[in-house]
Order: sequence, then C-alpha cells, then structure tokens
Amino acid sequence: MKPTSDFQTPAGDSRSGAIERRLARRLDVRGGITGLWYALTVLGAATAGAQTNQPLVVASPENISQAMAKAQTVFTRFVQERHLSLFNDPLRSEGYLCFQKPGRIRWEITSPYQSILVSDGSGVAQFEWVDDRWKKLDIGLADALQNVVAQIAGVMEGRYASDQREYDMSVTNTMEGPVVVLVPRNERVRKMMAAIEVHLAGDLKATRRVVLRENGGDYTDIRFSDQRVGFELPPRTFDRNAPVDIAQVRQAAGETNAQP
Amino acid sequence: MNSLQNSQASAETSLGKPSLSSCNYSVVFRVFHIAIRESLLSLRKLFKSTRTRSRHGGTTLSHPMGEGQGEGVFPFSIPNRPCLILVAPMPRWVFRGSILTKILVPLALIATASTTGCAAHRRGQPLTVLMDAAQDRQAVSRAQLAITSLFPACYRATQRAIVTVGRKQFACDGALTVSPLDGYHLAVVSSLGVVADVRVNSDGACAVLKVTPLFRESWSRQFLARDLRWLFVPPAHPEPAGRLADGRLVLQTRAGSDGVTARYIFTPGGERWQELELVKNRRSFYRAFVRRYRTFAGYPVEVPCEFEVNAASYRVELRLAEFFIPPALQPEARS
Repeated sequence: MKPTSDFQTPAGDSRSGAIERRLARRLDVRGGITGLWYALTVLGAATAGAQTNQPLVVASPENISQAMAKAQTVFTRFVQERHLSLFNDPLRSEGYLCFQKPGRIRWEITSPYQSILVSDGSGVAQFEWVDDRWKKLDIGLADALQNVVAQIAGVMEGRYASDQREYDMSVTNTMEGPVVVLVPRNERVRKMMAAIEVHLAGDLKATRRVVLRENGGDYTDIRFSDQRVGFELPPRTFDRNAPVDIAQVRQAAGETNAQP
Repeated sequence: MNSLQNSQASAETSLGKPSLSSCNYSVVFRVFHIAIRESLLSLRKLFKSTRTRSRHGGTTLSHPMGEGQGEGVFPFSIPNRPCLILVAPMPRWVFRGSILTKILVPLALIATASTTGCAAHRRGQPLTVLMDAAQDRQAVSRAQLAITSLFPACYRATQRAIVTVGRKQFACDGALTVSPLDGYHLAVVSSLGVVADVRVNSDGACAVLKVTPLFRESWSRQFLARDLRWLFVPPAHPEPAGRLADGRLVLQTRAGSDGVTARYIFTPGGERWQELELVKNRRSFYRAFVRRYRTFAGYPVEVPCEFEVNAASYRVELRLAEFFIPPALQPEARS
C-alpha cells in the first residue's frame, strides 16, 4: 500500500442521479447491507473480551448486547468465500476488518485484489487499487450506506437487545458454540438475505464465522481469525479521503509480522 | 508496449477525450459561416421571441429545439458532427450591440469552445478504416490467430469490475468459468449478494440463469451478456477490413442477425489485440480497450487482464484478479 499521495479522488459531483435512485428503489439496499453490518456488530460484541480466560457464558441477546457495549476497537483477519449455487468452486477473498466506536468500520480486501470500504461514522467511502494507486470511487447509494452505518452506531450504543425491529433473533447452542441467527423481518429484505448466522466461540469471547444466506442456495461464509480488541488505532484508520496503510493498523493491533 | 499505449491514447482521444488536434476543421468553418449568417439574420429575433419569465422572476430562454432537447447546445448543430456548445444561455447584451458585436461575440465564444476541447466530440462516429493496399496476409493471419486463441479453451477467472453509471460507481466481482461444454458462464457478485448469472455460448446465444432483485433480466441480456460475449468469446470468422490511419490492423466480423459488426483492432503486425468497436447502422456504440496483458501462475501465456469499456450508458473498468485452469480441465484446455 502506498502513502497518502497515492489516493486519487473522483472529480464528479456527489449528486444522486436518476439511475441511482431507480437502482436504490429496486435494491432496498439498506436492508441487505444492514444485515451484513448487523452481523459484524455481533462480531464486535463477541470479540469484546477476546483473548481472555473468562468462564463460559450463556448466550442470549442481552449478554451479547452487554458485551457489545464494552467493545471499543476490534481488528481481525477474515477469509470470505462466496458459494454460488451454479459454480463448483467458491469466490475467495481475504483481508482485514477494523471497527471502532462510534460506528467506524473498515473492511479491507487484500487478496486477490485490493479494496477498502471505510466509514468514519459520518459517511462512507470506497477505494480500489488501480494502476498502482488507490482510487477513490464516487460510490452509488452512499446515502443509503451512511444510514446503515448510523443504525450500527445506535446498535453499538447498547440498543441491541431492546431494539429488534429489523430482525428476528434466535440463539442455538451447538457443540462448537452458540449460533445467533438473524432473520430479516422485512419481506423485501428477505428476498435478498434469507438469514444471517453468527457462529460464536463457546465462551462468547470470539466470533468464528458469519454466514450470510441468500435465497436460491447462495451463501457467503466469512471466517475470522487473529481477533484483537482494545488497542489504540492509528490516526486516519477510518479516513474517508486517505485511510492509513493497513500495515500500520496491523502494527497497532499487535501483529508481529505486520510490515510497514 | 509504448506503441501500444500511444495507439490506445490516440484512439481514446478520438472517442471520448477530444482535443484540438482531432478537431474537424471543415466542420468548424462551416459552423462559423452558419453562425455569422444566422447571427445577422435571425439570432436576436429567435432568442427574443422565446424569452420567458421564470418562477423566480428571472429571465430564461427556452430552447428553439423544444423543451428538454439540446439544452445548452448550439441551436444550429449538425447531426453526427462535433458538439457545439454555448449560445443558448448567452447574455442579453450580446444581442443589443452593434453588428460588429453580433458577429464577433458568437465567433469568439465558438472559438473558445473549439479551443477548449468541446468541438471534437465524435461519439457515435465509427473509426475510419482505410483499405490495406499491401494486403499483408501474414499480419492478418497473426491477428486471426491472436484473436481466436486469446484464452485457453477451459479456464476460471475472478474479475473485479468498477461500473460507472450516471457518474456513480459500483464495484463488483465476477466469477467466470469457460469450457466447450458449458460455454461462458459469468456470475456477478456485489457486496449485497449475487447480482446476475448469465451464460453465453460460442455463437453468442445468451441464457440468463439467475435474476435477482439487484439486476433486471433485460439488463443482463443487454449489457452483461454483451460484455461477456464481445470481450471473452472469440469471433468465429474475423475477416480483414483494412487499417486505421495510424497503421493498426483491423479485422471485422460479418453483421449478425442484430445488425452488429465487430471491429477488432490490432497492432500493425497483427500480434496483439488492442481494441474493439461495435458498429450498427454505421454508428459506433461500444468501444473496448485492452489496457494490459499479463501472465498468471500456472498459465505462462499472456492474456488480456485489463479492459476499459465505453458503452452508451455505462463505463466498465474490468480486471482479471485471478486466472487459472482447474486441474480437471487441463487436458481439455490444451486441446
């Protein structure tokens, strides 16, 4: 990754065009992305006390909500596999997830291509590594994305258990640990996202997997590893114009093999 | 490689990034002549008669071509010629002055437009192909071989695309599998899930395998399948068409049932495919540029790995992030 000067911002205006509005109406994007982010906030909650030796906890929405309130920063690696029903092999990507209260999220893919989706709490931005530099996209549906992030911020403030308007939530205990299943209440959202599964560690201190199940058999399986919490993030980690190099975030998170 | 970039740059200039050097001067002079004549005879009358009051009390000018048509466009523009802007929102003092002012101001504004790059936009005008008097058969053979053997018979590729529609950009992934048995199978996936899933056969026949709330079936057929077909499916019988002015070789297909002719532009020696133009009814409506070639692990032959597509309603920057031949398909791929 290159320094700040490599960031290339779009010259276009930020007005939402007619095509974008039509697309937004068609997508009902808020619901779909909310599902993803909701799952990620559960991840944040569950990793609030990671790397500790606390006793097993009975999984419930209240417990998860309480743990969520403690999570200030989260950093984790992920491997994402998109399983498509008509394809034999999944689409695989790897990267890092970074979260900081209030409502700051960075989803960075490092392989097989490089891409950053970042929110600083007041807006979202997306960057693509093109021609050896980061190119900032003039993303469509930015307002919808920002609304989603605002909802996440509310969730992160502890309204998780009491505010379940978006999803029906259930918790199932398995041998490997509890699984939280979120089913969208909105029918239109359910057409895109049938359910979200969050697989927690047995002691509720870490999230192992998040599975986003779509209709028609497609699903996205996100497996997390090396989760770290409660550390000081470098400035501009969530900068929407020139986010800091992920190597610096990794160093701040305490990864020993992080290279600047 | 430099020549490739230069030729691409020149081609780009002719399509979407106009410059003074690519300006059609005869057309400009013709417009100047029209501007002088019309400014003397009817310009004042034309704009005075169409002046109306806006809701906010200001003066607005309705366009002589009708509401919603050609707003901000020179009223005497010539179809299929360089775009000519200005004049419509021209201030009133322009029409109040002497005859000299009436002539000079429009001319100055038009000259400014032409020198700032607004006068040479040739969207829709196909590339000019000159007859190849030398009939370099070796170059043609090389080009035919290059375009029909761009990719192996079987492979898998992961694509990353940035689609620009109406100034807004959307990033998505593409999963492409190719085999003689199953054809060209492409699934497009966004952050929100699967967008579309299409299959295109070698003859161009398209099947939409999956329709989602994110993407209409008609969009899959019109746009997605078109990109897949023309960028990744080799043409059946490309024939020599001639050369461009810069010496690059052109092969073209026969018009299909939809009336579309594809023109493939190669390096002068025919070694490498550089560009694609789709033409229908003598109008160019689709241009694609091969930005880069590279090799991938497990497949030592260079393949096109970066494309830029300029279509009428959208633009795509497409990269191959992964490219490999699955072990089970390797014998088939070699054949």
